[in-house]
Amino acid sequence: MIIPTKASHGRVYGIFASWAAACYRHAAWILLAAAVLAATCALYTARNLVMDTDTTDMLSEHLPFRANDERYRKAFPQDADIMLLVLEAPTPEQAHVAAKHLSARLRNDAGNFQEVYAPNVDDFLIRNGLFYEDISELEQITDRLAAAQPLIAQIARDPSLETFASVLTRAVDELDKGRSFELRPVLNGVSATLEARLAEQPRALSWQSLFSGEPQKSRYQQLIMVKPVLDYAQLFPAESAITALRNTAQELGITDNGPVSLHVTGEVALSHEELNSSLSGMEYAGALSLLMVAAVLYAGLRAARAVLVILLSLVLGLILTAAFATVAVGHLNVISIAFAVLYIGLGVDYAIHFLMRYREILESGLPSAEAMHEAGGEAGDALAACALTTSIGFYAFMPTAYRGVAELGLISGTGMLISLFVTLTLVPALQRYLPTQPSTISGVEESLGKLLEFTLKWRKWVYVATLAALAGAATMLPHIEFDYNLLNMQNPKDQAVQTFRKLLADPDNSPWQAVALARSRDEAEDLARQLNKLPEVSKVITILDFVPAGQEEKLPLIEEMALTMGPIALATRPHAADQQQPQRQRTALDLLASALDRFIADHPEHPASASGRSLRSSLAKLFTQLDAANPSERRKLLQSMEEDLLLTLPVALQSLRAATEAAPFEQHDLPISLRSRWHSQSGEYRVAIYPAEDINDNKALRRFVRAVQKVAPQATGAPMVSLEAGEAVVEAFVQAFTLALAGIMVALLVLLRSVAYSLLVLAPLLLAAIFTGSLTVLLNVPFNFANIIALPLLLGIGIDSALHMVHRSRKGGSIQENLIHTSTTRAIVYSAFTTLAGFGSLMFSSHQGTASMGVLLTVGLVFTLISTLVILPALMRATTHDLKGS
Amino acid sequence: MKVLHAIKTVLPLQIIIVVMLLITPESWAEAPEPGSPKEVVNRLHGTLIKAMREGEKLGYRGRFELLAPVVDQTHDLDFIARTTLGANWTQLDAEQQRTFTDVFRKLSIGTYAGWFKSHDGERFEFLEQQSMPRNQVMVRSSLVRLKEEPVRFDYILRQGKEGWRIVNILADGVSDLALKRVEYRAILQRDGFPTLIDMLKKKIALTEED
Repeated sequence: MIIPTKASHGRVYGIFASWAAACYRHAAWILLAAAVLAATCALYTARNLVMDTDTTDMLSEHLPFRANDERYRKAFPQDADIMLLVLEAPTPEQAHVAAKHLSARLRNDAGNFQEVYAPNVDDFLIRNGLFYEDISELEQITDRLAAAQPLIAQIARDPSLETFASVLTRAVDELDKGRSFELRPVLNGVSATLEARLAEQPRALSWQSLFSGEPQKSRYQQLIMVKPVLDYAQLFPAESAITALRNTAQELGITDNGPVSLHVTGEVALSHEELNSSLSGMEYAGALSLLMVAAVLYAGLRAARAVLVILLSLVLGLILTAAFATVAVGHLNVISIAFAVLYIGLGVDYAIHFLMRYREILESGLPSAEAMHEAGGEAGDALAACALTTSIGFYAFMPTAYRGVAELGLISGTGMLISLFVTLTLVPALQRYLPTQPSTISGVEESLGKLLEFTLKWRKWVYVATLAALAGAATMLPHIEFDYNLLNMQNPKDQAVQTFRKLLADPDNSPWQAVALARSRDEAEDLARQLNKLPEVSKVITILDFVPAGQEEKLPLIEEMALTMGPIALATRPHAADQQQPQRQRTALDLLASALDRFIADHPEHPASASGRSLRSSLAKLFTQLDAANPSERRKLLQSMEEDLLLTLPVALQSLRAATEAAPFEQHDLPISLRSRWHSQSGEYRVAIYPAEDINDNKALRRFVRAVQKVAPQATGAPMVSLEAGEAVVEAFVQAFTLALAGIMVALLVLLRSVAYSLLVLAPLLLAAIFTGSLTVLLNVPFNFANIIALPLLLGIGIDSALHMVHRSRKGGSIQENLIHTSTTRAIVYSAFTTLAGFGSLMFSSHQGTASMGVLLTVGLVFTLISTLVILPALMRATTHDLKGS
Repeated sequence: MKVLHAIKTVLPLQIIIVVMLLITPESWAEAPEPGSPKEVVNRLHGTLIKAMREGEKLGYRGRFELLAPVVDQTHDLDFIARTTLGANWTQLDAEQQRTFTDVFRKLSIGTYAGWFKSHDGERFEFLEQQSMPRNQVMVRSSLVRLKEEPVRFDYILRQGKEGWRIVNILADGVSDLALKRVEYRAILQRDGFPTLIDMLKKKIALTEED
């Protein structure tokens, strides 16, 4: 191992050398001071540093989209911070009842819920729902209901399986006699209900579907919008509300095993689950990565004491940086909290470099104190250059409009300087009590050295490969994307995420709507008309849509319907257990079966005979099961069958009766809960604009937003905010990195006083950036709000590594194979590996944003290592050859 | 859902026929206010009982003559006729509307005359009077028979220019308007107006039989 000893010892060298030596000498005092400082800072930070979780606040309030959003939130505060409850049931009636009961119960729990709005179970809309139908539809509804009236009336008088069967038997007989009427929906409905029960997946028959003449769908949905009371003093602000909601649902029998299920989504639930998934197992993951970092360090240093020294200096540096953040900023946000990531990634490196250099010097046989002097001078020189350059890079983030990034720049830039200070102070002092032995080269390190020697020898091929890779990457670069969709960052298996996606896929219900505000009715109408013309828009809703036209013409039709239907009262039937009941039920069903047999035999080609056959076969299956059952099972099965068939009749009749009581109304008659959602107290009209496509897709989102903005430039809403925020963030990062590169270049020129060397330091960074960028395309891991914070770390590591190499090679006086065998190379490798060990495991996080950050860091670090250890030496060799040659 | 299409004629009408054959007079206890909904229903019931008692003597024609003025006074037949056709009503010309109303009236009276023709101890029993939305009133009554289950007759009345008039009858809950609407509109839409009128005339003829 050749150790350069003829390094030029400048003034900087002298200062660092004396400082390190002094710290070594006065170790006891230094350690005492460090302990006091750490305790004070830790206490101060814990008491004063707050976490600001509001992500929108991180972007400048002067951005137009934020001003629009602010205006909207002020006018319609009830739309912000809501949970969406999605109730799903096999029948519309069950969904309706569940929504009604649940919303009523939640409304009574003011401690947890500020506002509960169930748009489709509002009495006013149920009563006046028929006004929203067309005249021709009203006629058809009356026809269908009139046709159903006798059946309903008879069953209502005695709502039992026997009556149902005998009414159906008579209807089938009539069909057999040649009368023509539509019996298929009922036959199919009853058959499907029987089959479902026999398959032990019971599902009630929907009378409302029968009334409307539509085939029964598999699921019906009701939405409830809930504004929970959020307690920001808690780690999970919505915890209490969500627990209360779950308990209430449970009490109402809305469980995963029951027919009605509840899915919770919306802004609040999504962030609750996001927090949950990013925190769950964090202690475990944290301990694991600490262990892995320690393992890598031990592999590199092969001395437990050295590992301890590094970890102690890491802890002190982190505490000091956090204290600085508290003093300078006062809070952390989701971006600036990444300072810890940056610090752990870069801060450890300084200690590694220092210790490895120190041990390298010890090997030459110098006594500890002198070795410390030399190590302090040499490593200090190099580390100071790194810290200065990196912190200038981070400070360059400060002028951006993205406050999160600006604060991150300030904290991390200072953190680098703190790290330098801690490394040069605490590490020498600790050497006094935890001394390190001279290092030996391990087999792995030797193989690594050989490999790097090999690549240096065949550097022509390295150039060729680099150029080829660059050409390949150039074709990828235009496809680099930023994924604005916050949903894509979450665990795709989360219930809230899945539910939200389902809602998004249905253009009629998309919870992501654009919203425009209009100052007057006319303006609202005008906007709606213009927006409706856009192909990107599926529908536009204003309060005017809630006051249907032609009420005067519709009213007589509704009155006619009411009169024709008559008041159908449902008899309550005595459910006394009667020994003969199963027998009567069976007889009635047998009669129905024979009626069906006659009909099918007489009219095999009849349009209804397929439905008749399917009911007949369901009955046959039922009979087989009944015959095999014991009396109590038989009774139970028939009773469940009766329930399945008649469960929804009372609700369907109630809604029907309510609907026939419609009375004409004006805008001011609308219930306040509805009105205030569309016409604010300050007089603004809300114009809700629904996308025609599923805007879960970024391209569709952009098309929709841009199209709407052309007509309504001040429109806001989730689609606008996520797109505009995404663009603002990207812009902020582009700006930050441009400034950082410029700042770094200036710093390098000053430090190295050579354009060629400055470019050599930047080259690996740029190459790694290009390769990493193109790999995001290949791996389909686009940049997003989470992984973008890995970029500053990659920037820092890239600069530091290259600078160490260039620095060491210049100190060594020549660029030789031996550079590869120095402690610098090993330190770079181990630094990168500690970072990988610390953050690479993020790749396996269930939170997609976090996982993509892990991927990006891993890929970035690998490319940084290749660029620094393979390409850079080759380039330096070429440069020095050229220099020598010229 | 024209399930009940089937049941409609079959069941209710048959029940009604059987049921109505047997009625006693003195079912209404106290005399209600003249012109009130209850009194209107009472008047109809009284006449029906009379038609039954004197059924044989009067014959079909006699019963028809007896019932015609009372049915006219207690029912809003023009309104009922119009309502059974729904939107199709407005598509008829004035002449057709007149024809339809006239035939409809004859069928309504004829139906009563055909059903209520003999007496075997039946009586009407007043059950209750209920207010309905849109200023309508429902008078519920029951036809009590000696040998069989009683039948419920619920009358829906609304107040027109000439006072309270019956606009719909529910026999055991089955709506007369619903039955007629489905049947008439189906024929009108499928076979046209003349067929509808022919069918109604055939029905009138049927009420005269036996």
